[in-house]
Amino acid sequence: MKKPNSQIHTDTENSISIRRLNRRLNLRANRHVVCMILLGLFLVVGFGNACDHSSPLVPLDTVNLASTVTYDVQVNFCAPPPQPQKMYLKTVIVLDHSGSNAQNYKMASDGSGAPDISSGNLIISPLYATDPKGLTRYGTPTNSGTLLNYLNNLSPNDPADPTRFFALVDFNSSANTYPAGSTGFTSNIADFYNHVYTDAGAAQGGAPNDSGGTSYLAALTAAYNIVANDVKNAKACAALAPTAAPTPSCPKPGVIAASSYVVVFMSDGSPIINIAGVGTNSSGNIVITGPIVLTKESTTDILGQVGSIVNLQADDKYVASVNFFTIYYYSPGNVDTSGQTILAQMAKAGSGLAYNALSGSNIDYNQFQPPQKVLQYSLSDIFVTNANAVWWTDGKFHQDSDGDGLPDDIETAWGSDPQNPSTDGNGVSDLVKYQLNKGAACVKKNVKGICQDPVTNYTTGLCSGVKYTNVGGKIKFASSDPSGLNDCEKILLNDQAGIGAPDSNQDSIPDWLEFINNVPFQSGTTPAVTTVNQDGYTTYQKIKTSLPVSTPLNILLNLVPAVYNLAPATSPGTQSCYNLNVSNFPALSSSNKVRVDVIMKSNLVKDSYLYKVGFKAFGTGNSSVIFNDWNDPLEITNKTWSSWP
Amino acid sequence: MKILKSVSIILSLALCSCAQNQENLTGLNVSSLAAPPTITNVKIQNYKPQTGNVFQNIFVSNFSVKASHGQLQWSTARDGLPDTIKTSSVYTYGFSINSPESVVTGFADLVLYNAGINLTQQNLMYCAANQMGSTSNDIISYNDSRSPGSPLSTLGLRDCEKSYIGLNPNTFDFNKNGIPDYLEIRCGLNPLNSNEAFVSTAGDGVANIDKCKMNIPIDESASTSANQQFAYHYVHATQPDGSMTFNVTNIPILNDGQDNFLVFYITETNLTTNATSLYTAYAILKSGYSGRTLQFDYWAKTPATFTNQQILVP
Repeated sequence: MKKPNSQIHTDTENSISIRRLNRRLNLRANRHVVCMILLGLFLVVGFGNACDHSSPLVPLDTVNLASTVTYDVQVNFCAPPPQPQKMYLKTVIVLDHSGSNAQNYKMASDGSGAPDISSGNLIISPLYATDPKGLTRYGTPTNSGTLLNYLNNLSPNDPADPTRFFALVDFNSSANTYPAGSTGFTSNIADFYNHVYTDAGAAQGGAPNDSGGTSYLAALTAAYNIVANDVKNAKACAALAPTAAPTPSCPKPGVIAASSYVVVFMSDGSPIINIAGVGTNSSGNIVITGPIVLTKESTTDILGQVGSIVNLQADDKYVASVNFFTIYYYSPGNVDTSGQTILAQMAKAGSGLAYNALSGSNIDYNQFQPPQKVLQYSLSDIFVTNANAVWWTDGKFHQDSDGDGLPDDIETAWGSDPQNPSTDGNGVSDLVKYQLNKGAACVKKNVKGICQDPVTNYTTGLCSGVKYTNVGGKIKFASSDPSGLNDCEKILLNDQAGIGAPDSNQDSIPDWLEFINNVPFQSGTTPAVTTVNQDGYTTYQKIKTSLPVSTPLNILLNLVPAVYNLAPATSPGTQSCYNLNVSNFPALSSSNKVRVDVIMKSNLVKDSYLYKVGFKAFGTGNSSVIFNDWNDPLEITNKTWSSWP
Repeated sequence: MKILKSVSIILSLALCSCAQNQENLTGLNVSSLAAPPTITNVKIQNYKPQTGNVFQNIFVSNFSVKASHGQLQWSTARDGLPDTIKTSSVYTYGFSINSPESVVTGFADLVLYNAGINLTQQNLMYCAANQMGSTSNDIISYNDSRSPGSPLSTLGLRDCEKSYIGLNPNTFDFNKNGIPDYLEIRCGLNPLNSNEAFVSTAGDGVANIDKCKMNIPIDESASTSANQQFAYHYVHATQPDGSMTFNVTNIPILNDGQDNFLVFYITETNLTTNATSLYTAYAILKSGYSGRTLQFDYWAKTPATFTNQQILVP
């Protein structure tokens, strides 16, 4: 037996010598003849080698080389140019309106936020009020760095394409929101400014309306509802047809756009919702009426609620980030340490920062703005494969005329149509059905005697949630990613979690290429790059270089992998561009198509892979194929890059 | 012979495709590599792993010179961004070539560049004072005597940078793939993704981790004539006394070696705990190092000399 080659490099020599021999014999037109001659040579060599070893001989398979012609494929392509990440920035401002803003007591030195009753009385002074005129929370339109000044100076949104959104939560023992009912955000900055201006106290001479307790949970629930409803709106908006009329809450119908959410939570102290033992006497002064008992909201509940706001970013198609900032403000010499601690814990749980502000001091709202990234892409991986020829488990390279991954002869034997990727037109391709049936004999035949899927209509069954079109009885299910498996097929193949990702298990190999090679592709399965086969090749190497995954190379005749040669190209502007030359690209006939899968990545930025797939048929009588960066409309399958996760 | 042939194939393909489509990409002009690059060599002697550890890997890199697009590019700041990129007018980052952190204190230009934080956004980046250090001790810092006042220059990922990227400040190799995070970023690999080092982006069968070690780009074939000339060669030899010698040859240099900044990373694995450790050193070459070999004894003798050791160049 021939020893397995662990290096693709070694085999390159063989491939080149074959081609050189082809040229020397000047018999390129008739590759069959050349291959048969070569075959004879190899048989001799093969047996000669085999005789050196005592292991039993494995019959050599002669079909593969004899019927394979190789091509040179050149792919010229570029990464998309650097571009600012399209993002909506949505800010929830949460303001404390508890009574302590206007009137506050001296606090006990234990830092619990309880009143100091060491003198036998509550010590109340205007000095202890944390923000009686709202200058810390609101500021003034002219005082730089304050909320009103910040909003006053913001440029208005472009109504056709707004990018900045706001919502306000005012809370004491309960919470109310603007826009009302926690329904979401407003992009009308002037309107929001006017609301905040009024909220701050009429004409700035007065004071905000401050009274009652401090329910963090009420405020956090309102903030949660605002963000959650906004995500719901964004999904509904993306589900609309692009031709639908834009509305303020859905400026771009049919477009998936991620939002960055920022919550700025301002409070002057602990979440005390009730103080027992304090009342008003007959002359209207606040006095101690019994033992002082504070009722506080549980820190665990509060942090849990912050966590559920942050967890909304699991919906990462719609939520780019959630950051929760807190500001603790106080009057000098009267610090509520426990309130300060909870606010710091909230910021930590919310991937944000905690700030402290003295009463009356200013806060720079510009800092609660995540930096906008400019995405720059470079090549992550590229696969050049034959869309009309597949390696089957019998160790042979088969013609697959309809490109459904199921070879023509297997389709004929099984009873499906080799010229139709979904023989019964139910939207699920023949190879998916074949794998689901595990290649068992046909369960149900149609009038023409062609095998049908046992389930003929998935639209009302397992895939009832998937969108589809029905053209003349042919069902076409929606595909959330362009790799080649539609959403219904992913559900049937147990890859519901991978819908939307062309590479569900993130091993650099697109799902379709793993699927047709019978390699697990589903989300959570073992990455093929770590799977080493008994012949020393990883599954990744084999798929990339058009080798059979399920057959050890040492039982096939000097099978040569496709050889990739990638070089940088002159780039227009700041894009990365490449010339890829793939030699020894295997084909079975001149009616085969080249399939090119390209994955681009953006460094350091999470969630930023781009994917594109294209096809091109070989020219007749030509031994090379040139694939030109999707310039030619005939070559395009997906004109635009799709991003994932 | 082989190379010539493939070049001619590419050229002929390019020619015939140009006739059909004006937007075709053209290959780089290979003849720009008229002369082979000047190179230097490094020999590290008497290496022994710490007690209980075994040798895992060695990475040597000339931080002053980056191979890309068939050319060697000078990086004054030694920070992974060649001067041509830092000063290019098509980028709006406001970088200076003289410092690795030329715009935001605590955030390397390389990190800002890769994350796409341009001039208008840089005021939003903030590295807190207690995040400026490196908990995992994997940064190289030195006083850069070329600048007035010899400011401290930091090459590596500070804690705030690691947090920003999503890495762990307590480890130097977040994805445990054997390459220190900072080198991954310099090599164009994602330190969050552990598979990426073992695939071959260029499809030439050379894994990305090996290209990173050889200091050639992961998205170019190792077989291009330029990359064949630029790739570092590593030879490990075990001596009769059990120590190891590392010969790293064919390290491209520019300016005859003057101010070329060589960095050495050695990783080890603990046999019982499986924990990995990193030992780092650097050397600043002088002119006249073309074709010479910088020879020195392994630096990490005591905990005080494990990281950031300057190797004096004779």
